[in-house]
Amino acid sequence: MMMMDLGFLEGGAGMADAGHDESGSPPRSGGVREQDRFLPIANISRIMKKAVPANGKIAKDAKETLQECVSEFISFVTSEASDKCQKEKRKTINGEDLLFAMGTLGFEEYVDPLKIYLHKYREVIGDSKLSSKAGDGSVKKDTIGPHSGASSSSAQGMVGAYTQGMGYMQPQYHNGDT
Amino acid sequence: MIMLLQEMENHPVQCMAKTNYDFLARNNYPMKQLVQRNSDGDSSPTKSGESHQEASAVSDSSLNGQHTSPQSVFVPSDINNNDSCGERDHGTKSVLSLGNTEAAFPPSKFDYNQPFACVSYPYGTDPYYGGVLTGYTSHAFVHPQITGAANSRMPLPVDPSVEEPIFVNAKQYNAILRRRQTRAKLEAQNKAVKGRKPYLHESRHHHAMKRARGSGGRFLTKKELLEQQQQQQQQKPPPASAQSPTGRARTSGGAVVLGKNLCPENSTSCSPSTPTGSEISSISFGGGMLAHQEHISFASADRHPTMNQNHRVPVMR
Repeated sequence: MMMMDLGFLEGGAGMADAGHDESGSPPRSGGVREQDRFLPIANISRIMKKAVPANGKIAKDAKETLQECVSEFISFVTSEASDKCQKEKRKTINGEDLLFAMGTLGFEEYVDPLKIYLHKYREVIGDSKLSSKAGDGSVKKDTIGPHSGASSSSAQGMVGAYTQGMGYMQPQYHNGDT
Repeated sequence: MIMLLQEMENHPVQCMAKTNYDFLARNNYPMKQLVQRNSDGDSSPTKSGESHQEASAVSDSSLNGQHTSPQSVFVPSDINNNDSCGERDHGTKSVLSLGNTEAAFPPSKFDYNQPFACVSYPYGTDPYYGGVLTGYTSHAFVHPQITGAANSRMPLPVDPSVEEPIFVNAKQYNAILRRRQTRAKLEAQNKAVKGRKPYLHESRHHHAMKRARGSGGRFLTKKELLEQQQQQQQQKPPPASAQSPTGRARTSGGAVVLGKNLCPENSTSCSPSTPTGSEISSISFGGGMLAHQEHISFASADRHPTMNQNHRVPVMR
């Protein structure tokens, strides 16, 4: 799995180079785009803290670097899945498409754990639909909303990002187990 | 010896940080000037901007590590304070960055200490930036070998900046090229984000700037605020009622107290925030008033001892 991770980091490094070059020439744009492009850094910090001892500290540039890497990884896998959906003339990216995309990109070791995760996740979603609890049910229904209304491209992006975000936590947990 | 040097470097950093924070928190004029300074920072060239951002990012690391819950609100304002520190004095900026770098990255202490010790302050920035590039280049050089051993390699098209081709996983080759094209399109439409804003929401930023701060730049709690108000009420009546010579004597006594407090503050890494913050705030308040406004003769007579206090504080450092 480390080999696979390094493979992606290589790609990320190349893209980081391109980004660094491009950052010099064009002017700045509105600050609102940062929220559209990156995941919230507080959530990423919380996830990083789980892997660090209680007395450890994480530098801010480390958090920002991982924020960029994680956001780029989501776009990377989603782009591959979107390409396949376009070939098959489908408008909705679902979990299987993302898993297939990760397999295509060389992350085969992640596909089996993520299949198990996706299966259990759908079981939980089904239970929440049937029971329709007050707090948790409403939250999950809100998340189901963009999934059901998936005819637009923005919904596709949301579904991909959300599913991939959940999927990314799984390998981290798996690494914790090993 | 390295440890002693680090301690020596850390203490003035803390003193400078405290004075600057209290100065900004207390007066209205410094806030306006801060806004102007931020605009000046934006107008600066790209390279200095990048180094400035790196310095501010590094300096924030220790604070971010220490305090987690108010992170979204605390971080942006702290960046602005660091910006003002950097704009005021380049030496302070480099010292701040180096001090925090030592705290944040223990393994890299040795690398940073050498250029800092050998080269002067203005020239020190370039080796730091060069060091960063060198590290990045070595990273790029190491990864291809590992990936080559694992999978078949394909050379990516050579960028003008990168001298050597980067080898990537063959399976990811097409996807990487596609992502590059997508990113280029976004930049053509001016949708890509270049540089990070110190804060996302203007209103939250203003609120954070108004909050009172103690030693080390942390926000004061409600209890500490009440204690400060009580101390201010106790300190106000004596100078108003007393005559000028008596007032001078009392302020000189205050200076002695400040000197005594500064010594243990320098020696210990963690000091009580309430008395230190209040005393430093009083010094900065006096300095700010003298710098920005003119008062009657009686007020100016009172301010002279304050100036003496300001002179003594650097001597202690």
